[in-house]
Amino acid sequence: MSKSTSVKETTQNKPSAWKTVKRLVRDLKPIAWAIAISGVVCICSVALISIAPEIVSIMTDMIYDFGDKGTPIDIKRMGDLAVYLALAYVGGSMLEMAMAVLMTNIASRFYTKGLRIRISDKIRRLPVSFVDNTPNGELLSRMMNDVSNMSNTVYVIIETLMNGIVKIIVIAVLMYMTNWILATAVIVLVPLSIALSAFISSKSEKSWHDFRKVNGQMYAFIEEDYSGFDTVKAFNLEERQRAICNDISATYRAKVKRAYYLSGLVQPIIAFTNNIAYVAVCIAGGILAVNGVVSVGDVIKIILFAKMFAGPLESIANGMGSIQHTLACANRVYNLLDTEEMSVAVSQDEPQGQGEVEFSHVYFAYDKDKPLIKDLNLKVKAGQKVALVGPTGGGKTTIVNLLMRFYDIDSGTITIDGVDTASMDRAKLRGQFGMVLQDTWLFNGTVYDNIAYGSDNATYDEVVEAAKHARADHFIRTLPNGYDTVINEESTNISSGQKQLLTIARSYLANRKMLILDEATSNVDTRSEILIQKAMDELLRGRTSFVIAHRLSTIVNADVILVINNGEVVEQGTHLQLMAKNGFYTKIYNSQYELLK
Amino acid sequence: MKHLLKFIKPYTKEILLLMLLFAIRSLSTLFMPYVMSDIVEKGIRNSDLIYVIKQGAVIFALAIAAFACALVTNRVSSNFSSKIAVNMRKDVFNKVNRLTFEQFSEIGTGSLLTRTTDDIGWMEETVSQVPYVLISCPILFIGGIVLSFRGDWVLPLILLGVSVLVLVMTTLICGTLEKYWQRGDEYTDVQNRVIRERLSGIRVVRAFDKEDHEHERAKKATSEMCNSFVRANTISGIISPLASLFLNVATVAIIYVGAIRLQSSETLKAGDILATIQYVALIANAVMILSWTISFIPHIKVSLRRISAILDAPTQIDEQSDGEVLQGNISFENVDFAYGNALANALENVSFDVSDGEIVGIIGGTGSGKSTLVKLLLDFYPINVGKRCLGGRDYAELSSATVRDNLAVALQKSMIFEGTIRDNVKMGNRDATDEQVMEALKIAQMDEFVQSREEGLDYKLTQAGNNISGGQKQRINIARTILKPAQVYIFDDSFSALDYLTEANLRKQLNVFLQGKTQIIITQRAATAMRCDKVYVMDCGKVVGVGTHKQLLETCQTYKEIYDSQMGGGLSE
Repeated sequence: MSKSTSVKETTQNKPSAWKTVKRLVRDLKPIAWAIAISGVVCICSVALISIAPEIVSIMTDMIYDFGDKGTPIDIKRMGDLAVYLALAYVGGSMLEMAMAVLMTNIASRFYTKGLRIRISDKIRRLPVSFVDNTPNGELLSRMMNDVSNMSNTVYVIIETLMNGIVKIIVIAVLMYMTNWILATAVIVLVPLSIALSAFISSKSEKSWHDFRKVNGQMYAFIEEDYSGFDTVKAFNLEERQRAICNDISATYRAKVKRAYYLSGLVQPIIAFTNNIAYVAVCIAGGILAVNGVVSVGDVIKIILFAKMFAGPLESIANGMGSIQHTLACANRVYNLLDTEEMSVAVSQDEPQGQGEVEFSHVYFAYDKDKPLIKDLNLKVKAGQKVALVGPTGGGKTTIVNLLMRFYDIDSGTITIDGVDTASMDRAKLRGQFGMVLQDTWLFNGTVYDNIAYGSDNATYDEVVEAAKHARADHFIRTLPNGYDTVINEESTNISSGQKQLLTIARSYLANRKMLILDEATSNVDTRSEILIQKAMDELLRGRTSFVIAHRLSTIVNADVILVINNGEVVEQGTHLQLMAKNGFYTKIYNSQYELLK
Repeated sequence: MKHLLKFIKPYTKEILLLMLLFAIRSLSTLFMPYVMSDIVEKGIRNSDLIYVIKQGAVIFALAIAAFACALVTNRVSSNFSSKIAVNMRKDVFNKVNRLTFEQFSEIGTGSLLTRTTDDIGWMEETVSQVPYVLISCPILFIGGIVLSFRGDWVLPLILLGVSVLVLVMTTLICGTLEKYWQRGDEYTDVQNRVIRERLSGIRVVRAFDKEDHEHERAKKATSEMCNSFVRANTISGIISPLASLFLNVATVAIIYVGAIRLQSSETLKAGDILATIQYVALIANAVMILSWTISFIPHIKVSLRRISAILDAPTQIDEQSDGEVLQGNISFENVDFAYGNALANALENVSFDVSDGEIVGIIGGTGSGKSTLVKLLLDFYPINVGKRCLGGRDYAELSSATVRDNLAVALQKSMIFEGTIRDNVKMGNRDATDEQVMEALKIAQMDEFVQSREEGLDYKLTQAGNNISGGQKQRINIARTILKPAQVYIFDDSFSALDYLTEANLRKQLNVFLQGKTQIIITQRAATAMRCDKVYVMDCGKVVGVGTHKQLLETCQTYKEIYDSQMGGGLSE
């Protein structure tokens, strides 16, 4: 089904990094106020912390004067200075803490959570074809792993860039105020180290992309394996799966190693350039102090500043290292968010009639080269029971997909009571139908909640009533907690037939105008089926219904039987008419006795 | 912790190397202020420029040494942390595949998935820090303290006291974080589960217009997860500014106390105070790294516990198939079985006997215990009472893998893996040739489909076989099963999505292909059962009848009802 591009394909056309950066910045808008506040807080805290070396240098000068000239230390003044210094530190740290609290809260609550909710919201509007074509694990890895990596680093980047840049500026100013020669010696290396780290980071971009991609594959593979746990066991596939896991792991390791290696280079390079600056300051400071140009206190101060410089520079460098990682994750997340959505309804019309359905000249293909439905014409009167029969893969379930608009037709029209379904709101269209599918779907919740799924206002009695009609009430009562029994995540605590009974009860309760039953009772034993059939017939009375079944006993009493083969209606009529024709239907019908021979 | 060590152990050499390099790096950083203090004390004070330059060269050399070490450590450590994480993931993954069904359901698919992916990913990020923290912190910390004891004992004591205070405080604060990480991880599982369910049931969700409801569920799980993580992160975010505050205040105290003591002490020099201030920065660095690491411990602990729950789960000792080929006779003697916490037995006093080469049908209503029987045949669960035998051997003596190796089973749920048709069919027999694969597909009535595709056997099936019909999935499942060489073939309701025509053709060819092999056919269709040599009828977990079709029609009320319900309408018309 290459009907719509899957996520995997779209990742290949990687947008330019700059575009992603702009978008990341745009996405930060809702938290701009928080970033602004933390900016102010940051400046204040840096200012306070930068006053500290000033005070320290006054104090050390006093100590040196005592050492050099024997000038007695003014203990009172020393005490006062100590108090100021302590206050500056306390104030700075308090502000720093406030900023940490603010940023974690804002980043997680508005950013991480916001992105996840946007993805969940996006899923609402994703076409079924997209979900069919994309491994669950791939989507999960984007929503969980990529988002969390993205926001962790966004947080780091905001924090370090903001903090780092402010600190560097403040420190630079203070240094120049102390002594411009020494200050220049320290500052001159800054552009150099930033350029170096930017260069290395850009090298790591591709490896981060590769790494995120293989991470998604890993997720998808593991998800699939765990979903097929019983098959893995039954076929002793553990070794096969282990081999595939080893393969993916090897690629994963190669990518992650490279990505981390390249990003890890940034920090030592910055540290090194910084140490050179340190040496330069020591030597130049020494010379100047010896010549008496600068006081020893000032030299010490600059040395302290030079040390303070290292911190923000290294964190800026680290921030740049993680930018590439963030971009790789952001790319995957944005890719998902950009996936083409289902079209929006153009009209708010709702079919008002009794459920008249018409297919006219409908064409459809999952795969462009393989047309499946060709010129399908079909008119169903309100209240008719329509049976679809024919070989598997012939297009029966596809008709359900089209009727419910899980897939959109390529050309032609499908109308309900004269309203074109293509222009209808999907939810309203689907609200016309009750549906029971071959692949039963139950969620990890109680039996009661599973039956009431889709009928929010149902009372307890109505749920039980529906279960009784579906012949499910009896077995439900034998479950450990009756209606409150929780269906486990793998739905292995009830049998396939029982699952079908629950989904039938669910549809019964939903009580829709029309019904679609796609092999709804294939795993239910025939005795129960006959009983359900009675309930169904009551339910179907006066309702248009589409029934797909291999058990011909289910369909002999249909108003119209459509024999579908290779996407075309090859025969049409009632059971008796079709039997009289002695064609394809008769062949199918007689084949059930073939088995008896 | 035990597991982490197990994974780290093979890399002892790397770790030792890393530690050595980190040690050099830390020592060189440690000596820089020492040398610098000499520059001030001996160089600047004595106006000895030569000395200043000489010592400057020493600092430069130290910086180069640190840089070289950093380059090597970066290489070794990125290698080492990725290896550990990948090995851990492989082990967890393989272990999950060996869990029993009870163990698997107890944790649940969603949680197993997060544990294998996110929890280990988290380890990967932090494990590379371990050697660094192990070596650098003590060196910086102890070295800083020792060096600062040069001139005076009171100043370093202040430093030591504050450092200990900071570490104790960090540990205490972090102790409270564990429950938040735990809860956050649990909600991560919930969110994973909710999204997985929603994606796999997309048609039902949409048909019942429940996307909003599903979105709300996801939103709620996300919010709960976020709340827990925010709490944990906020608290651990405070730790580092708090630690730096304490250490800064220690600096103040050192200067002040130093000034007082300077006047009265004979050993303490002005330069020593200056050096001590520098060491405070180093020690602060060590303490900060340490407290930063401590703040991760609660989350690592939670993740490790979640992973250990998988790795520590007991599994059967003999997990490998010993390649023994068993005969095709099977018997159950008075088997009782109940699922985990169920009150009632799913099977009660079930006995049956299948001889080698026989075709046996098992028929019964919904919930009669047919599929449970298959699960017990495959040794998915141990039984409570009774005896199971395959090829005359008691299951108790055979490993599960050996049992499964000798049975080819088409399970009720036709699992399709993302990949080509060939890959999917070859799961039955990895050594099969393309001809054999095609033959199996032909018998399964799937050859036409394959031939109609341009890609043939390379036709890609999407996740869960979303791009083929239910009947086609069943036929791939059947092809996979018959490709597997075995003496016993079991089909669990494997024909339910096939039309009668396809089934008739399939069964005809199947019987030829599986000539002489034992077949167990679980079905709801009397038409399917009646062609078997012998039929067992099940109802409510018990065997209520056995015999040929004809015998059963006379002796077994349940069978007659089933038969009448299916054939009554059709035949009489």
